[in-house]
Amino acid sequence: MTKPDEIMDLSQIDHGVFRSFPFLQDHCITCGICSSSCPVSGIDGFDPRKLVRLISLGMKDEAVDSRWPWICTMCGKCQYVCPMDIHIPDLVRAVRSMRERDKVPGILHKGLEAAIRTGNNLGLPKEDFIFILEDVGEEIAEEPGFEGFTVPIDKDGANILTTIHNKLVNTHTEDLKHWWKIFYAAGEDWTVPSDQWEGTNWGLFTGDDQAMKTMVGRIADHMDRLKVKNLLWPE
Amino acid sequence: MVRKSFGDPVAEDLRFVVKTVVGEENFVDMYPNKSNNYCCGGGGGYLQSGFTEARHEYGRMKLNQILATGANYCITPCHNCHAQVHDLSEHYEAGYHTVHLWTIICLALGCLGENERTYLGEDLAEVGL
Ligand code: SF4
Ligand code: SF4
Repeated sequence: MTKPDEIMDLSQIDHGVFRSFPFLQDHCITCGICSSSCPVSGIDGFDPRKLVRLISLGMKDEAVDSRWPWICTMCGKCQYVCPMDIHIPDLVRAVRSMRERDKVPGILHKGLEAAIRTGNNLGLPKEDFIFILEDVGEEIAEEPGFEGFTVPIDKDGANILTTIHNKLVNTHTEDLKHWWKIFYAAGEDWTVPSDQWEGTNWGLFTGDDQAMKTMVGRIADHMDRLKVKNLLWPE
Repeated sequence: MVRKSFGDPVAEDLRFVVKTVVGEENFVDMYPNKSNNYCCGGGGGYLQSGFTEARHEYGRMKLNQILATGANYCITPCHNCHAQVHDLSEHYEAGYHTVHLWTIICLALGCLGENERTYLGEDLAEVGL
């Protein structure tokens, strides 16, 4: 029979490493219900039970360096079915946060850095943003039933503030039209901020709490400044 | 939004909107649904992390759920879901169309412009023009 120390280096195990994690990982009864509910179980040999085990055994490098925390979407199906209510998505996000920032996969950290620096993931200057909004607004005004339509930018006291997903002022401007036409048809009093308008918050994905707070804080500031009570944050 | 934030009542609200715009007889729910549904695999940064192969694998669960409904259109209420569900149909050559909820609302309102119909199939492409 294979002995445990032939499978892994037992000296690596240290239950104390993740003691500060508040996700109840040590309560796992290894039932595997999470794994059978998870759409990504089996890919890269991943399943949530194994990740929970890795964390409770304190195997930090294995968890942080692997692709596992990034091929999970933090959808929460596993936690929904877990009899011990272990906070698996939060645990995954906390492991993501432990990656060096230049090793965060894909464009996630770069987009977030641009957003922190410029107010949006694209680094789109304010004048260009306003130009695009007004241009799309003029196209709508040419359609029957929308005569006189304009985009209410930075409108004081509007009922709804809406943020913008960067792709809507990049490759998908027609999606702006749908929202705005629905607002118009509903007689809604709405507005959009002229800068710091980014609707995505990739700090959520990269585990960067500070960045996430900055992005949320900007939206809260708009709400205060413009005295708007309702937020439509369609991401 | 449903499982992690607002629960099933918000899923009911979404169904009310969808049934109102497409007609109750044209609505097919998927199984499982609401809080017990599966994620499409476009969330959590997947579309931006560059792990396309893993993302397609992840999405097979959603693909099979959609195919089991037999529906020609899948309505998605978020940008990430739309991108993923649309990509799944293309990648696996599944043949269904993927539309944003707001596109279908504008179609029902009769104000969906001619150049805003990229995601509609031939059967709906001319409706209300
Ligand atoms: S469902 Fe919960 S208790 Fe069961 S293996 Fe998964 S994390 Fe552990
Ligand atoms: S949160 Fe991650 S581990 Fe849990 S079911 Fe979703 S994809 Fe799987």
